[in-house]
Amino acid sequence: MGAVASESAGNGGDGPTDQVLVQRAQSGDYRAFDQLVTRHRGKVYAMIVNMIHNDADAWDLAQDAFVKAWKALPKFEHRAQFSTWLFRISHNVVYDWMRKKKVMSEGELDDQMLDSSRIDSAAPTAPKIPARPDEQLVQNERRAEIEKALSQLSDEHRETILLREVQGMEYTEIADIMECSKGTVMSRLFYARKKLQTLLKP
Amino acid sequence: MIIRLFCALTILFTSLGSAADLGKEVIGRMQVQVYFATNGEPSIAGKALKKPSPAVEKKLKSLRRTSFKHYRVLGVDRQPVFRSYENWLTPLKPSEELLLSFEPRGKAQSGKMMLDLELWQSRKKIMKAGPTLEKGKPLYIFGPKWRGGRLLLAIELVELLQ
Amino acid sequence: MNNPDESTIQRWLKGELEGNELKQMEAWAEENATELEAKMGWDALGDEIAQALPSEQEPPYADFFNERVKHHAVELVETPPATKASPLWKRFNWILAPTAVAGMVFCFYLGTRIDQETTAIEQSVAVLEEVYTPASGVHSEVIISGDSTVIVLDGLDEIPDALDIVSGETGQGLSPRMMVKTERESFYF
Repeated sequence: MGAVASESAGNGGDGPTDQVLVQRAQSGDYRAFDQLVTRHRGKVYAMIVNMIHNDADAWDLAQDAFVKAWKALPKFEHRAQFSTWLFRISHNVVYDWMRKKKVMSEGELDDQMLDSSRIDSAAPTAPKIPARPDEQLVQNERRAEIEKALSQLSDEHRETILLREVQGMEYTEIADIMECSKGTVMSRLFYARKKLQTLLKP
Repeated sequence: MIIRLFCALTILFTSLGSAADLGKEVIGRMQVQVYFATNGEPSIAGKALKKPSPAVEKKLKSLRRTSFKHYRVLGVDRQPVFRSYENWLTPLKPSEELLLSFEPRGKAQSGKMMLDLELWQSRKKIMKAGPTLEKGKPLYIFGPKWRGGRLLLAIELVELLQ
Repeated sequence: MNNPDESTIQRWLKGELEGNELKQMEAWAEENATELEAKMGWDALGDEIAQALPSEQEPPYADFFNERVKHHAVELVETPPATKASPLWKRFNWILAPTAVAGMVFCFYLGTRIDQETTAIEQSVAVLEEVYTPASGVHSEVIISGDSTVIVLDGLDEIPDALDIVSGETGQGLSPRMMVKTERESFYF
């Protein structure tokens, strides 16, 4: 990924580009920002759900990320893609939340902490979220195994895997989001891969 | 005797309860009329639909530079305005495709009432506004398209009791 | 670092490298990531993970989601986010104040000459404080037409032709009338 934001980035060929919308939003046009929310909420929400395995809290945290993005918009200088910048904000929101929940630790997490079988989708902090249609996939044993294995990684290792394998981000982007060096990204990524291979051995 | 006593006590306590809730006092009445506006064949909305009166039709045609050729009345609803509670208008009853919720904001002054107004389409909120209404001055809303035409709402404070 | 040996790679994968050795290994890994992935036999598992977990998932009550963001971002804040520094020419706006005063005096003079019809329009203009359209793609225009206030909502979803609203048909979904406002706010907005 280059350091300069591409003008064609983010719109999927449909409507104004992210860069155009961001510029309008920076001028105070909230409707432009609302379009950015609509465009990016799916990825942000999915990333957070995959990280914390709690639909209700993920719903709140995803909103927090966008609220913070709106407030920080004047500081966005278009040197990176808006989506990367947004993911960095989401990263900070999730980690702040985890710190408050006392989930952060130096090494691997207690494998009970984020066990996918303990998904709490009926938390009172959000609207009653009905069972996701893709809850059906829980019946897919392999997916459950993958989620369980991911939950046994530390937050940083899990996030690196999710950003690389699920979100398809480049190493530079991941480094930007996680505010670490590319080298650290490589170390975390390959360590996590090795660990997952062991956990998911057939 | 016991039954009469029971009824009397029920009425007494009910009236006491109602009097205690000043929020339910009726301070006015709101009305919404929904029109089908189209340049095509108006009977597509329904064969037995009435035309608005000539005066109303003239008014509707004057609202925008580009007016429609035909107007038909789709529905009307009138509901009380409670002092501190919201209420709903369901002009296409029993259809809830269009709904309006309204609640007064503070006391009416100089014959005008400020309201929180929400317009709902297909059970989704599509508009929120804070109009100040007075008798004889409807608020018009050009809403969603349907069957080649457009729904036009006329929202009016038809009575103010304060 | 030239090609690290297998032992170095394994120590790295176990998190056992430090200092300079770690930096060199990381730099090598960055240059040779594809080769390393192939060596690990990672591709298949990587693909499995990518297919098993969604990269994108619409949050439930998506319209509500957007409105909650707006509520917290904008409506709860008295002032909008600071905009960038004004250009130089705007810094001479000190001259605007006396000009504005002169303009106000002139307008007041004109205002004493305005007739009843114009006064009615001013009253109509005061009818609306704000119009908010939560759905993305929908925008509102307020028109003053004579003594009438007109809101035009563009970009709304069309009501399906097949839906006979005159006969009472309605689309799917939980009716907002069934809930009290506070409960509804948390469900819908």
